[in-house]
Amino acid sequence: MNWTWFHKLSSPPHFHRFARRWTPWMECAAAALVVYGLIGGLILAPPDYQQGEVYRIIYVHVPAAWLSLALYSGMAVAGLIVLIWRVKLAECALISIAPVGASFTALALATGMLWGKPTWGAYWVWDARLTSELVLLFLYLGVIALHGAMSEPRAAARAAALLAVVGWVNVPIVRYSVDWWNSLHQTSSITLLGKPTLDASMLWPLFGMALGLTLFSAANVMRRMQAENVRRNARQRWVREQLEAPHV
Amino acid sequence: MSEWLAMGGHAVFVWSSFGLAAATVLWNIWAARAWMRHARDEITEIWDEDDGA
Repeated sequence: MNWTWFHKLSSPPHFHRFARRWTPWMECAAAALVVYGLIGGLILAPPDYQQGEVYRIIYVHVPAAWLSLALYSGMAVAGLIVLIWRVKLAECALISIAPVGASFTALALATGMLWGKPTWGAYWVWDARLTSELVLLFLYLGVIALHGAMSEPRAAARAAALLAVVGWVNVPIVRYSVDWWNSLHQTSSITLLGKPTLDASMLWPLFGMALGLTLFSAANVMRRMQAENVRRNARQRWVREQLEAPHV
Repeated sequence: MSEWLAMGGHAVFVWSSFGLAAATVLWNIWAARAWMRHARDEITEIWDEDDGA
């Protein structure tokens, strides 16, 4: 198996060209999928026989919750690469993922609260799922704050990487909290192996929203990485060539 | 249409959720562009210093 393409991605100029070429397409695909998800979820899908219309919050809550865990896992992998191989681009990835992940974690918590009030009668309960997701938000903010607190970029990235890697233990806790503890939060409607409990008319728009927001997040992280990448390589010739090219 | 907007009496919860989602996406778009603007400004300063030196 030829891994050259993967190693080339850790080359700053190569990554810059790769990101510059693919992010616009990813954003267009994301927009199309989100529009499909919104039309399917808000208009075409029928109301839920138990929750009525309020269940439609699922179309933003579940993708946001899924992204909060996926982005943290991506950040932890970048952290591992930083700690083990000290790859500069992995540092850029770590720093770029954190704010995007934090924003979607906050969205998952907020939409969960908005769903909880009409469904459980309370915006917040110290339930295992909700509490561990809140801890996840604090971990994201911790990574951002720790990185911001240190002036030397490489030392700051290593410290943030350590917190990101150690904090990953919370991801399976969030994921399996509804199975391990007696939780008010419902169990997963979609599992990798089992049959989904959602009807297809409800399920496909959910996949559209999840995939669309995932593509959007990936493109957004790559855009932030581009900025961090050129900033760190300001004196390299390729940066001058790239930035003075007609489109960045 | 108004019935659809009412969302079965849960309009405030449903539309607030979708509003927050839109705000999250827009903030991320703005922030990524702000990162690039700041990077460009910083780089231009560095180049000016180097060219001036």
